[in-house]
Amino acid sequence: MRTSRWLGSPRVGALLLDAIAAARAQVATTITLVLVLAAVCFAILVTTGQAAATEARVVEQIDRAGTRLIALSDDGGAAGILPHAPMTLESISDVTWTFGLGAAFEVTNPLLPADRVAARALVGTLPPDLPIIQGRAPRPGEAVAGTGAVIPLNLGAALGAVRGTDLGDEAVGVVGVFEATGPLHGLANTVLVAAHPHDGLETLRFVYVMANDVAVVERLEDVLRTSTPARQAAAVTVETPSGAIALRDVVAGNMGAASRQLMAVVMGVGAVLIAVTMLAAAVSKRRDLGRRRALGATRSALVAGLLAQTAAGAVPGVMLGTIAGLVTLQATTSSLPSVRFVVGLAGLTLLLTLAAATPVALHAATRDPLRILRVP
Amino acid sequence: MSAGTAVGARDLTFGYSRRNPAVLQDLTLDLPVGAVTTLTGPSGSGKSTLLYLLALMVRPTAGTVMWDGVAASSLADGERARLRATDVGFVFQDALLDPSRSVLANVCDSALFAGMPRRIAGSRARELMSRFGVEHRGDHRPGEISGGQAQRVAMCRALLTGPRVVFADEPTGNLDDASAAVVWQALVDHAATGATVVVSTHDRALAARSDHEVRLTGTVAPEAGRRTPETS
Repeated sequence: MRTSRWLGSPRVGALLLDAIAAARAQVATTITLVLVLAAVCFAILVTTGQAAATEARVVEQIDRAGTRLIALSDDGGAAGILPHAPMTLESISDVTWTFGLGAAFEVTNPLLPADRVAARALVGTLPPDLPIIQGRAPRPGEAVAGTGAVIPLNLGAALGAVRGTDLGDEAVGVVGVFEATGPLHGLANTVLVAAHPHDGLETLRFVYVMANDVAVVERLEDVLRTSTPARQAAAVTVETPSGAIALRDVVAGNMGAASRQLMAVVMGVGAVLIAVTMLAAAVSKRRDLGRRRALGATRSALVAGLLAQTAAGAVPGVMLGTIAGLVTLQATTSSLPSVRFVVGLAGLTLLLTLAAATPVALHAATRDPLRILRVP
Repeated sequence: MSAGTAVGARDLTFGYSRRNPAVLQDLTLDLPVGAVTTLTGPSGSGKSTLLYLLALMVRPTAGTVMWDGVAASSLADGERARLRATDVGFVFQDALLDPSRSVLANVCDSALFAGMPRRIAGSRARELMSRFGVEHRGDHRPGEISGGQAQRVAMCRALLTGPRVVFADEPTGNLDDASAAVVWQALVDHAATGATVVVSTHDRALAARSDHEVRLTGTVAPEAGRRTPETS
């Protein structure tokens, strides 16, 4: 029935430009919306955002104690963890890194054999928690010393060599010094000798496995109990940092719950203010909306236009509030929430704005244009 | 519906509420293509309401509005809206411009929902504004122009998409004689392109110059229950 060469529905680009023009034309409404959203974002950032940053710091400190590190041990040597266990376990998708240690033996500096230091065979590469701070990482047949073993072994700047009970008569070159941090700080006084693949090492006493995330530790523990290559797998002791994880959950839960409640209150108040603002705008534009219906705007086009107009005012408001909140936090506490938190807050606020504006837009779009336009 | 008719009504009845008597009852008419038809009658006789009904802005209480032989008043809301956007031009009694936007933006308003490209709309709008003598008011707000100029701006908006049916509700009521003549001539010229033009007016002289006149004669005769438009 339509004979016009026009589409009969608004072009998306034109609708967006029209929405921006409408936002600019309705100065009072737009400024109110910008200020409300800026206030909401600012309030959330300086309260919940600060709490989130503090929570992240505390959790990070707890994580440093090793919430993701799982230790497999064979204290009595009965389990017989096989030397290729680290390589096998590294292929599990939830594992970040893994390495194994053989049974302890004593080493001394053959040139100055005064003190003895514990040493273990190392299978796998040194993890990030054992960074080399002097020299280089060991190749097979070479050793690295923990920072606490350097002085007892009288190792100089150019390092030296060690000889021990498990090393035969040959001295092994010490090519670097590692720093034992976090959950592996217990290795600070140890010498690690990188094992040859075929040097006759029969079993391992420890295998350390770092999980990708705290959330997978429990699941990974079950996998390790059944998947670790060992002569007597049932005899392998699997230790997880359950206490640290529980503490982490309590800290994150308590702090998170409080900040989430505060955020919900601020957002709830913000949603009411936004809905009232949009309602006032829609009421003041009743005749205008009726005119547009009369000119051929479909209900969906009218709703889309009103929501786009809302978004046109909301985006600058969210940006303004976010920037002001971050600047305030930086100036007062020097602790900023994560990028993920800030982006999530901005997205959530925009969604909340559109959700609050939608009922108003739907109501405005379903009004009978004739009743609005009729001149008595 | 006879040949040469695009829009018409069959037994059209409309009331604003159930409590009040119908404003229009059992009205049947055909609007010829390529001609100007005037609707005349006393205030309250339903001239504006009939325009709104024929322009598919509102559904009748009973009866049918026909477009090209189809019961257009029964179409879904979205399809009626699209017909209004693309095929209808409407000049409201009080111009009804958006006071927060420029005159040029008001003229281009009808292009948005028709899906007319902005560049074409802008060019056509300036052309029409020049024709109606308001081209120098493009950047002004409606509050800064006279009532007569506002009515001419409303004419520009109605004609922007080149609609095949134009409804004008008292389009010359606020105009001086010279402006009224320009508006009337524009409506006549548009009809000459093959469009259907319907004008409601109190002006007997204007009605006399139209191709057809439909006179709405007042209240419904209780004994008849039917209003038959007088056509001259």
